[in-house]
Amino acid sequence: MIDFDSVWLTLRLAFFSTLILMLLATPLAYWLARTDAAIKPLVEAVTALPLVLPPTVLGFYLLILFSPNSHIGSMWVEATGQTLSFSFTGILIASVVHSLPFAVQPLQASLEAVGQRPEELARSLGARPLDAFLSITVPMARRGFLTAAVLGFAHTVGEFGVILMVGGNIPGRTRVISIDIYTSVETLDYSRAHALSILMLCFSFVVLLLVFVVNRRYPIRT
Amino acid sequence: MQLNINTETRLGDFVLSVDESVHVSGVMALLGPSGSGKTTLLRTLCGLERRARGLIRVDGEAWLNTARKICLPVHRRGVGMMFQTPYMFPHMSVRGNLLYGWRRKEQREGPDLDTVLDVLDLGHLLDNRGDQLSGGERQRAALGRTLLSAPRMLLLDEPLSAQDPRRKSEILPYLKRTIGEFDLPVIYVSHAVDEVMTMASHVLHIHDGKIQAADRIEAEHRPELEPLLVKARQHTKTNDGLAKFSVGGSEIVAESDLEARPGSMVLLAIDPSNMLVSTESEIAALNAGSLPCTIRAIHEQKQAAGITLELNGNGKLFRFSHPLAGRASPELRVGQLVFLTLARPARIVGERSGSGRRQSAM
Repeated sequence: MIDFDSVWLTLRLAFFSTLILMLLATPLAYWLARTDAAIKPLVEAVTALPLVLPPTVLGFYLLILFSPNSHIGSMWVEATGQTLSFSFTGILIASVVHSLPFAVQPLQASLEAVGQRPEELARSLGARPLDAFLSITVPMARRGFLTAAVLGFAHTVGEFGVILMVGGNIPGRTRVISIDIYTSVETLDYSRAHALSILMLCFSFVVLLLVFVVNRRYPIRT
Repeated sequence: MQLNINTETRLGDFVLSVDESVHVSGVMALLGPSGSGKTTLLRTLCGLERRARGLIRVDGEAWLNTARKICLPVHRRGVGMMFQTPYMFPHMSVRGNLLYGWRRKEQREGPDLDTVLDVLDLGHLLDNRGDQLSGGERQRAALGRTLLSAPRMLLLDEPLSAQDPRRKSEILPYLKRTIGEFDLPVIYVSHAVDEVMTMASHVLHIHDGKIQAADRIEAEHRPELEPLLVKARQHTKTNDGLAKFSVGGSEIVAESDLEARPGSMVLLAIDPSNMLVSTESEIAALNAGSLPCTIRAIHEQKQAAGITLELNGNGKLFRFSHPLAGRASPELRVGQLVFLTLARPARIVGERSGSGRRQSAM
């Protein structure tokens, strides 16, 4: 009988990393969409790095950063008594970093499409900046927000290399579905690999279908 | 409303530099060609221009004081801004749009909802989606939304320039009713003199980022001068009620509701209040065309200040005695080549020069 530890772990990881992603990516995308600062291309390039870097490279640097010998790693050990590497928190941070461009880019594109005029108008009508953003810009850019959240979630679910590098393969703690499938194949447990793979296939298909259906229902209006 | 502005706004190479104290009651017009800084001045006033430096005081209250790090946020200035093309929030109904500012106006007393709906004739549009309105309806709804936010001052940024002539005449009465009904200080930006001359009590002329002159227009001095009549040959087909005509060797645009065909001769009337005199071809920015003229005389009497121009290639002498004549470029000489720029299209008042002048009422 298949145990579903890795499935629950993956869902938990994807849920929290999507949550954190949206909180980080929204202000970042907003800034990128509005600024004409000289460092904008630099920030854009850094944000997009996880798209081109091999996951092993990103994972390697994060592993070094998280190790108890580094500043951040040792501070974390002092504060919590646990190491960042080979922990759920560690793979959560790694997922957020790795999926950041998938959330930032659709958000930035939709915020650029909406432009700043609706928000300026709202402010001239008496809305505070945050109020204007939430009541005008967010609903107008909702497609971007939806795409960002779905891509962020799906990309986290499908992650392999970064998690393997940073979290290893600890059942119940860092063994997510993709690593579970890899391990099953390694140990010649093909029936388990089959079950988990078909689950992933169906999930990915349903998510993409959902995105395209929703995009059809809510065309961009400006 | 007492307005003290002493600001500098740098946008790349362009610098808007303003040092004016004006008392705005009723309508103050801000006139100038495209790119002269009109919109930047409005954005500076309402707090949207972050690069503005200096001082702005309104009725003694500091809105901007860079030295003391004061910059009153946009939502607390109570400035109702109307943009060039009317904009409705597309994810809300017209009702939602109208009530957006109304719900956020805090304690300020503003116009009553029913009065606004009535004056602007909006009642039957409430349940439409914002982006389903026609251009004219949208302009009225945007005006209503601004009024309902209980502004202390209205800033209208060329509210008619994006509209075709027919729609202009549809909106203008509503605009005048609004200004009459709600008694708000209004700054009205335009490059069309005639649009504002009938409403404004003050005119500020802005050119290349600087205020050139301030005029007070007494009601009895508002110009009612004879229009300049010129023969012209139509040479494009009528499109959106407009067509191009050639006068001498130059091209101007006129409203053409008649079924005139390319090649036909018409008589065009150009209202003096519709003309600007300029020395360079900055006029390219205006799309209604311009006529080269030569200055034949300059009249400096107080009561009848103005200039006499000869229309080049036509020989016709024309006394241009608008009180604003020559304001844009004060160094005019006799014999100088200048351009009569039309701030909006001319009107056709008759067909075929020979068949008599069927002059229409103004």
